Amino acid sequence: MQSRATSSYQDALISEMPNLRAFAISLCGNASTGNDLVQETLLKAWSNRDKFADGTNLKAWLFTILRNTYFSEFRRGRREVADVDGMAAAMLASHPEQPGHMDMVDFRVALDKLADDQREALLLVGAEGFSYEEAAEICGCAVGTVKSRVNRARGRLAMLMGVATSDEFGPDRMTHAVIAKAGT
Amino acid sequence: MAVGGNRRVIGETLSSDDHEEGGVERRDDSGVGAPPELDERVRAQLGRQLRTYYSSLVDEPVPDKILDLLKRLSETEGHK
Repeated sequence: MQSRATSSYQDALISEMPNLRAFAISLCGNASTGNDLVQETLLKAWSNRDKFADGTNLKAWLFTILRNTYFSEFRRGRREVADVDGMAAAMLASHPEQPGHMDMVDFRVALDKLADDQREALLLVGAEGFSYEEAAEICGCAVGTVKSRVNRARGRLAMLMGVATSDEFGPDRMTHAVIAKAGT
Repeated sequence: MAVGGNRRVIGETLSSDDHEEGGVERRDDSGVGAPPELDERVRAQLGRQLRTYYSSLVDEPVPDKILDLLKRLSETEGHK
């Protein structure tokens, strides 16, 4: 028999699943590992539900469990598992008619090239909308560190995405192009 | 797309925030250091792309195996 508390905890978990899964997949670089990471997170969240105090932020709590699990158990295999080119090819094949689809593929590939801690910070702040303070708590680091990681992530993305320019230019030229563009 | 090697960006400056992570191993495989501050419009464009990409994932249906796991967990209540 389910208690009311259990069932409301379950409902609350279910409502967080879409965002938790989006974060997991973005962090892992592929959907299959991301889904595994969500399941592992759910198992931990469930067995530790007694430690979850009412009134605290369930979403932040889940994201904390997920990122800790990723960094302690999942990241090691990431390089072997992540298949950006394959994923890009799959995305290309799946929705080629969508406007801006190529941009999306480029973005996905660039995001995956970021260092893990930079990608994590950018996802938490830029995609999920956590404050720097909340993100710092989730990552277990200083607020300034989160800010620095987000800035680095943006800078690298700009270069990788060729917001600066295309492949024939070196990084120096790309930097100047970003600056030139910034000045217009 | 290749921004490889250990090339450093000319004119790169280290902000005070960067010193905070000075001793941390750099896992960024490009070797490119702190990027220059980005123009607000570039930042806004990247932000839009990030949210477009991310919301396409959020909008996907949650796989059955995740929902099944939640269901199984709630059914084991009291048996752990």
